[in-house]
Amino acid sequence: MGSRQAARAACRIALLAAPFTAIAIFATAASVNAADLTPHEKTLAAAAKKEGAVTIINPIFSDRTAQRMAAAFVKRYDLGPDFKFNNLRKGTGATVAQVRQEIKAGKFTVDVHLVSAPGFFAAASEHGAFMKLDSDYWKDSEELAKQASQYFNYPYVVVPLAYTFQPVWNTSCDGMKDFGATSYSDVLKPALKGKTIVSDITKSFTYTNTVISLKKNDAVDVDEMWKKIKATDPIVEFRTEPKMQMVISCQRPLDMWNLAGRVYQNVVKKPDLAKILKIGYYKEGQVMLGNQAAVLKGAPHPNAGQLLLEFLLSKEGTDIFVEGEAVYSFRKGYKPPEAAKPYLLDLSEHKLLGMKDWVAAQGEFKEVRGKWQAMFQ
Amino acid sequence: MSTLSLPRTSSWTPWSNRLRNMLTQESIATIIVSVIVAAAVLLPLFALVVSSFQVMDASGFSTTWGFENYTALFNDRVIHKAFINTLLISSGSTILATFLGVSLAWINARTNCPWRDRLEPYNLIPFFLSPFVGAIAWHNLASPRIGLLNSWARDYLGVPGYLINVDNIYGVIWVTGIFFTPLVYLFVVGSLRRMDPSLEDSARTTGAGLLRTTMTVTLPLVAPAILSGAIIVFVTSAGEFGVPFKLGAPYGWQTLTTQIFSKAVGDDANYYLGSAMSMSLGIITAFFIWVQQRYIAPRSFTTVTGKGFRPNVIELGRWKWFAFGYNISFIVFAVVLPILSLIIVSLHPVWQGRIIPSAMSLNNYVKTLFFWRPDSIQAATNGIYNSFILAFLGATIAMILSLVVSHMIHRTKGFGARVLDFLCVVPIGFPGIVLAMGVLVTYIKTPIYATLWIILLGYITRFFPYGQRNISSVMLAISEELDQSSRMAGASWFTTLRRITIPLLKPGIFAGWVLLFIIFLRELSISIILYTSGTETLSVGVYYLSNYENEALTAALSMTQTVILLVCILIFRRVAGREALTA
Repeated sequence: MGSRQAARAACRIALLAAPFTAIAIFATAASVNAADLTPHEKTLAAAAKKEGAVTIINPIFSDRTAQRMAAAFVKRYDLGPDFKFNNLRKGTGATVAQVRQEIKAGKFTVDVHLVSAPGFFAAASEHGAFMKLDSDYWKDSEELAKQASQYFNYPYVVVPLAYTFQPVWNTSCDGMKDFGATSYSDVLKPALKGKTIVSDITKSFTYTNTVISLKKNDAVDVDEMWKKIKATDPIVEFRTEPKMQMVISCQRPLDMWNLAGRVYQNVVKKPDLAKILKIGYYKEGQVMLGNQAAVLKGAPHPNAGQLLLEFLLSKEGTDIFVEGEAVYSFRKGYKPPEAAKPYLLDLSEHKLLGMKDWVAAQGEFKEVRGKWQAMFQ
Repeated sequence: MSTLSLPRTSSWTPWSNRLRNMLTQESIATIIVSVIVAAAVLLPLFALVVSSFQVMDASGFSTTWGFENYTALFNDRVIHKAFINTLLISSGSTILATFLGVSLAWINARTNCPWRDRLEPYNLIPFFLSPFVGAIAWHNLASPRIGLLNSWARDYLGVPGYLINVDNIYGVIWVTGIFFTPLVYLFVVGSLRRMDPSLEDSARTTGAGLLRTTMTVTLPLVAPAILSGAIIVFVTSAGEFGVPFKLGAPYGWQTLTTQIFSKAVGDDANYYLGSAMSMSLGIITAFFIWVQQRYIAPRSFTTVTGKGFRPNVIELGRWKWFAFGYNISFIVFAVVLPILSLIIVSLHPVWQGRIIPSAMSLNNYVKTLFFWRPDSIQAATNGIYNSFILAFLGATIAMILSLVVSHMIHRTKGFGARVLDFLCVVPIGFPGIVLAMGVLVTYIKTPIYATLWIILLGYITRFFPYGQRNISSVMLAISEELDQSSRMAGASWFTTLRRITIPLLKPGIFAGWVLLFIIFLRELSISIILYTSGTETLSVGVYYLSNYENEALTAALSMTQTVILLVCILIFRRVAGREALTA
C-alpha cells in the first residue's frame, strides 16, 4: 500500500469514526455520574440508600473535610438529603480501642475503620473481623502501595492514603528567622535548646513505626537522635494539632515530626501564617505511613461502608481528602488538587522509607518505646 | 366446712401479717435502692477487678489469666513516678483547697467582711469551670513563653524570661487546688451558717479570744464538713485527668490518670493494665474511706437543734478590709484572670501568644454555637445539646437516689447502712475514665451502648455519691429526734420523709442537684470513653477542639461552657435562694 492509499484509508476511518466519537463524548459530558459509577457501585448505592447512614471512625478527617466529603459522597451516589454521614474522629489508639472493643463484644456502631495500624488490622483480619471487599478501584492504588512497602490485605484491608512526618517551624519566633531543615542533623542542633518538641512515641503507632522504619533502613542512629533531642530540653507531646499550636504561638517554634496538613489547615484559618510557617523534609528518608481501611463484619450499614471505601479509593474521594488534609494517595498517575500542592512533597524527588513487615514491627514496639521512655520519662 | 377453713386462715394470717410488716414503704424503698446502687457500683467494679487479672496478648484480641498486670505496676518506672506524682498533686491540692475553702467560708459565713454576700457567688465560679478548662486558661496565662502574664511582665516590667510557670507539677497543684476550693467551701459554709451560736458564746464568755474560739470551738464543730470536703478533694484530685493532661504530662509530670488514659485509649491501649492501675488508686481511696468512716462518721455533731437561732457575726474591725482583699485576690486569680485569658484567646482566629486587635472576631463562637451553619463544628454543637439533657436527667435521678440512700445510711444505722455508705463512696475514688471502661465492658452488649443512656449511667454511678455526701453533711447536722417525733406521732416513713426530712434537707438537696448538674455539664473523663458520633458532650467538644482544632476555638467553647454555667447558677440562686448553693 502506497503512502497516498494509507492516507486515504486513514481519512476514511476517521470519517467513519467521527460520529461515534462525537456520540461518546456527548454521552460522557451529559451523564457524568452514570459514566463514573461502576455496576458494583450502583448496586451498593441502591443498598446504601436504604441503609440511610454510614459511620467512619478515623483520626484524620477534620470537620471541614468530613462536611465536604459527606456532600460529595451523597451527591455522587444520589443517596438523598436524609442520608447521614457520620465522621467519628478520635486518636489513633482510641479508634483501635473502640473498634477492638466492638469486635470482641460483637456489637457495632461503626462501619468503616481508617487508621494507620498495620498490626491491629492484621490481627483483626485473622479474627475474621472484616468484610470481604469487591473493589473496582483498589487496582488503581495497589501497585504503588506495594512499591511503597505499605501494609494491606486485600480483599479485607486496603490502604487509601498515607502521610509522613516532616519538620515544621515558625520563622517569626526568636532565633528561627534563618532556620532550615532538610536533614535530621538540622533539627538536633544544641542551639535549638528550649525550642523543640519531642513526639511521645509511647502513645502512637505512627511515631513508633517511624522510629522503627528509620532504624531498619539505617537512615538515622535513633539512640543518638534521642540523646541530641533530649539535650534541647524538649516538650513531650503527641497530638499533631497541639504541637502545631505550640509552633504557631512560639511556645516551641520547631516540631521535628508534624504534618504538612496541619500547616495547611491553620493557613486556611489565618492566611498570614503561610508567610511564617515552614515545612522541611529529611534527606535521610521520609517514612510513609499508610492508613489502612476496612469495613467491619457486622457493621450496621455494610453496603454504605463498602460504598464509602470505594469512594475513598476513587479519584473524586481522593481529591477531597488530599485537598482537605494534604495527605498522599497511592492512586497511579494521581495529580493532587492545586490548593494542596504547596504542602505536598514531590515524592519522585525524595527518598521514601517503608518497611518490609509492618506487622512484625509491632513486636519491636516495647523495646523501642522502652528506650524512649528511659530517655524522656 | 368452716372448721376446715379456720386452720388455713389462722396459719395464713400471721404469715401475711409478717409479710405486711416486712413490706413497709421503708423496706421496699430500701430494697429497690440497695439493688440499684449495688448493681450500678458493683457491676462495673467487678468488671474492673476481673479485667485487672486478665493479661492481654500482643494482638489485643486474646487474654490469659495472671498477675502480670500487677507485676508491671512494680516494674514500670513510669508508673512508679506517676504514682508518686499523683500523691504529691492530691496532697498539695487538698491542702491548698482546704485552706482556701475553709478560710473563705469562714469569712463569708461568720465575719462582717464587706460585701460578703456579693462575693460568695464569685468564690464558687472556679468550680463551674471545668478544671480542664482552667488548665487551658492558666496555660494561656502563665506558660513561660506564651502566657499573657509573662508576656505583660516582659513588656511592661522588663522581667527577663518569665515571671511564673504553670507548666509543671506546681501548676497542676495550683489549678487543681483553686478549682476544687469551692468543694470544701460548699461543705463548710453551710455548717458554719447553721452552727448554734451558744457554743461559741460559751467559749467567749469564759474568756477565750476570737482565735482560740475559732480554733477550739468553731473549727472542731465543722470538722466533719472540713474532712468530708478534704477527702472529696483528695480523691477527686487523684482522679483528675484534664489538668495533668494539659499542664503535667507534656512537661514530664505523668500521673496515674494520664497513664491510665494512655492505656485506656492510647495507641498501646491495654485496658487490663489500666484496670490494675486503677485498683492501685482504689487502695488509696479505700484508706481515705476508712479514715472518713473511722473519724468523721462517729463524730456526727449535732450543730442544728430544734431551737431557732442566728449565728454570730464576728466583728473584724479594720481586719475586715484584709479579709475583703483576701477574698478579692482569690476571685481575681481563680476567676477573673482565667476568664479574661479565655476571652482574649477566643477572639483570635489562631492564638499566637500575643494580642492582635486587628485579628479579633467572633468567628470562633459562630463555629461552636451556630449549629445550622455549614462550617459549624458538630462535636461542639452536639455537645451543648447533649450535655443539657444529661445534666438535667442525671442530676434529678441521682438526687432521688441520694436522698433515699442518705436516709437509709443515717437513720437506719445497721450493717447494711455501713455497707451502703461504703458503696456510695467507692466510685469517687475510681478515676472516671476507668469506671467508664467498667461501664463500657459491662453494658456494651446491651441496647444502651453508644447512646446517651450509657453516659448517663456512667455519670450517675460515678457522681451520685457527691449528691449523697451533700445531703449527708446536712443530715448529720439535723437532730434525729425530729424524724423520731414524726414517726411516734403516727406518720408513715414516706410522710415523715416528705413532710419533715425533705423540707429540712431542701438546701442540701438543691445544693446537691446544682452540684451534680454542674459536674455533669463539665464532665470529661467518662464521656471521652463512652461517647460516639452524635453523643458528644460539652467537655468532649472542648477536648476535641483542643486536640484537633486550636487553642482559640477551644477557648471559645470553654467560654460558652462558662457562660452557660454562670447563667444556670444565677437562675438557681433566684429560684432556690442563696442557701441552695451553700448547704
